[in-house]
Amino acid sequence: MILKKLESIKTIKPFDCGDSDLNGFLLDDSRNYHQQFLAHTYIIENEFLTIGYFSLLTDKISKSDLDKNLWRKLRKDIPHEKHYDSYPAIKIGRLAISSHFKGMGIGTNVLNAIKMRLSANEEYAACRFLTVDAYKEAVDYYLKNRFLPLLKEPPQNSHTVPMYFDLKKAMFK
Amino acid sequence: MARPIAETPILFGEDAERFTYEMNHVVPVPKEELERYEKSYEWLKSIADFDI
Repeated sequence: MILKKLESIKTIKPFDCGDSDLNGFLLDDSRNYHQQFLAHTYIIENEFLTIGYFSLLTDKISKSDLDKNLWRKLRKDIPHEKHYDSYPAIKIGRLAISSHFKGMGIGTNVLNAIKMRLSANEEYAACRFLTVDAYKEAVDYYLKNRFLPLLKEPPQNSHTVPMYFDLKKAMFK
Repeated sequence: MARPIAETPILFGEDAERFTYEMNHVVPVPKEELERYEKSYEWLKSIADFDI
């Protein structure tokens, strides 16, 4: 088993996690995200197959003390005015494990490793939160891994749920 | 083409209040869990063909 950066791989080995959208992101879109500097993708593979992958990008969590409707109005009138507070984050854009390797704890190990790497990160830019664009089927999994939903009621038409983990939780020793 | 990675929404009202509360009342993960994080990180480093 080896972890590689997407850009070091010429041909992505076969991958099927059971979800066509997650398969499609890796096989069709991940290189474009990388080339456009939108997300970096990391691939775990063996000699024959892609075992799993995850894509990371920078993010932020913003909150406003204003009412949502008032904020919309103000933003329209004064587009450059800042009406909210923002906190730095890293987002897991996508994380998927092949169906052949599910139940082995690989995804949880990846998640834990990312938490550790970011909470121990003192040499570069600061980052307080780990966010995730979680597929609805994976919400319980992320809850089990101490992520919290950002919204009480996620948008109805969305196929994903925005969630976050406070990295400060892992900074105590 | 797969669906794009969604934007993280701006929080308002109750969502913003809940987020602020959680941010100001951080409960550290148990020591055993932190040790699992460290082990996972060591595992990921051990299989990486680049410096993490």
